[in-house]
Formats: sequence, C-alpha cells, structure tokens
Amino acid sequence: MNQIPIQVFLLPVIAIVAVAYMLWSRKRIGQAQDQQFSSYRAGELAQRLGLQLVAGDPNFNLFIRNANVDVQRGPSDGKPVHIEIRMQGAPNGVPLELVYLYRVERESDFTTITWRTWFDCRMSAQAARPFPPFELISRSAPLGPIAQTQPLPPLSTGNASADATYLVASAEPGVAQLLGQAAAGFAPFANSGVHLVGDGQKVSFVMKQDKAPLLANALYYAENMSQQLSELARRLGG
Amino acid sequence: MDLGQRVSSHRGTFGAGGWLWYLAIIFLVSGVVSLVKGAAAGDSGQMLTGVLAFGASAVVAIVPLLRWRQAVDVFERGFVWKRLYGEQQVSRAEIRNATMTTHHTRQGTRVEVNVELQNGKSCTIVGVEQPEQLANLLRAAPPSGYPSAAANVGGAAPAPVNSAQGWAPGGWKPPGN
Repeated sequence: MNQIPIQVFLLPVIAIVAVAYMLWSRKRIGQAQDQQFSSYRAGELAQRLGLQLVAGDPNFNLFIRNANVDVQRGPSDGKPVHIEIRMQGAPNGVPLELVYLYRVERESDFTTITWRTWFDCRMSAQAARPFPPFELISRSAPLGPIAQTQPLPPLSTGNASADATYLVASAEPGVAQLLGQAAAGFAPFANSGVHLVGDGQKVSFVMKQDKAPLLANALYYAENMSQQLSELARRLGG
Repeated sequence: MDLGQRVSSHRGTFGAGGWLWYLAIIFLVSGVVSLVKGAAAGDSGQMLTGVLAFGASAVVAIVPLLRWRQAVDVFERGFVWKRLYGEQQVSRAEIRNATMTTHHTRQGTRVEVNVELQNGKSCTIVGVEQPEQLANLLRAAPPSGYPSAAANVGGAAPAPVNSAQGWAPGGWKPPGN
C-alpha cells in the first residue's frame, strides 16, 4: 500500500469533484439566465402578448430552453424530449397564435446513434378570408440563408427598397405588391432576419433556435410582431 | 413535362467530396512523382506504380466529382436533378416525401436529402447548397389554389383555379380594392 503514490487516489477524486462542479455550475448559469430572460417564459410571453396559454408549461423559457429539466437531461432510447407550447387569443382583433414545438428522439445501436429533431416556432395571424400563398425572406441574414418552405416563384414587389432587402415568392403580383408596402413594418426585425409564410389562411413569422431568424431576437419584439402580423392578415384577408 | 416556373436552384458544392478529394490528390501526386522518377531512372516498375496511382486517383475522384458537378432545380410542379451522366425529371405527383438527414461520422459530416417516390424508388441527393430548403420545397404540397401536379401530368396547361375563392390566376387584389 505504501508503494502506491497518493496521486492514484487523489486524481480520481479531483476529477469527480471537477465534473460535479461543472454540472452544478452549468445548472446555476442556466437558472440565472432563465431568471434574467424571464420575459421569454411561456407564461410571461402569453401575458406580454395578451394571449392565453392553452398548452405547455408556463415556466418553460423559449429562449433558455436548457433551463428545462427534460431538455437538460436529453433524450434516451424510447424516451424522447417533447416540449410543446401553444398560446392563443385575439389581442389586435385578429385570431393570433404562438406555437413552439421541440422534440428530439434518440435511437442507438452498436454502431450508430440516430437523433431525430423537430423544431417549429411561429407566430401566426388568421385571415378572415383565403388569400394566395406567399413567402417573404430576408436576402441577407446572420447565420446563413433562410430556407424557403413553399415552391413559389420569386416576384418583384414594385418597391425597390423592399426588393433589395427581401425575396418575395408568390404566384400573385397583387400579393407581392402588398408585401412590398407592408415590409417596412418589419424593419425592427431586419437584423435577425424576417421569414414570413402565408399559407393561404394564416400569415406566420417563422423563427429558429440556432438559425435566422433567431427566436430570441425576434421575440424581443414579440408585441410588434403580433401587431404587424395582425395588420398584414387584415390587409390580405379583409 | 411542364414543371412551371423555377423556384430554387441548388448546386453541388466542392466541399461535399470531403476527405475523398484529399485521397485523390495524394494518389495524383504520388502518380506524378512515381512517373517522373521512373522515367528519369528508366525504371518501368516505378512507372507502372505511377500509372496505377493515377488510376486510383481517378477512381477515388469519381464520387466527389459527381457530387460537385450536380445541380437540382426545383420548379413549381417538380424538380430536375442534373448529374454528369444525365438528368432526371420528377413531377410533384411522383414525390411521396423528402427528408433531410445529417450524418456525423469520423470522416466528417454529410448532409443528405432523400426523396421518396411513389413508385417505391428514391433519390439520395448529397452535397448540394441549402439542403434544408431543398427538402422543404420537395416535401411541400403544391400551394393551395394552384393546379396540383397530378392534374398537370401530361403537360396540360394550368386550368383556371380558385373560382371558389374569388380570384383568377394573376388577378388577386387586396380586399376592398
């Protein structure tokens, strides 16, 4: 026993303490950030927007998702992480909804680990009548280009400034013109990118967690987003 | 087949070849060095090694070249996949689903878009720009109010649509105007 150096016993203990400290520290930072950005918690966000939380944990922080215990723990085989938040209302006289979905499944075998990830975060305003589908995307956005979602051809809005900033895709010139006029209202979001999707019934501002338009930046102006979307839905659908 | 207007273009990227480019270049350099040395020394064995290395370089470069020199053009009613040895046209009616998968391996990361077709076959597209957008557009249903691909198979001219919604193609006006 006397011949075994003390380091042999000491080093594993130090390593365990270091790992424990790192885990504790990460959790503490997560909690501190959750507190600092509490306005992104589902409950508080619903209040900010004048919406009612109809599904999900009111304490879930859409920006600091790692503060959530399930997200921190991560998925394991057959036990996915599934977070779903839904808030609804009509604060501006138009039905408005904010949906957040984050789901991760994990499947592992001897050679591979397969992760399946679903993410969707969008604020949508419902139009009173159907309108032609469209998409409006910032031409230049941080963290790479924004991915278009609908197979629609690009169109000019007739507004040079809007055309320089945004790509508008639609089959209807009338929609492109209207978007060219409405685009100025989304100027506060220009830094983080704008991605509007009109599916013919709803106008949605689509956000991402790690790509443009970043959820954290976009939802900083959540109230403005709600107003702009409601106004656009009104102009498109009466 | 009339696929409508082009919506998006996705070219192959040079980087999609990954470490295979590195391997091809190593074989190529090895071939050049062996040939030059062999020719200088009059050693036919070394020259043969050089030729074999050239051959290996060409074989290894096939996959990265195919990935690099490809393009996928997405149209309103389908897509065209152009490769070095030909092109494939697929109408929207033939597409069942499209998924994007990111493979993380020791050799690197590979993003692949898998397009499942109605006939049970599939197209695996690897190494193009903006794969997420490509998967989105191929997965998307035809926008409501526009002729479905099924209705348009055979190249018939788009029929007037949206009579129920109150506007003719290209004639939509904001309510109240």
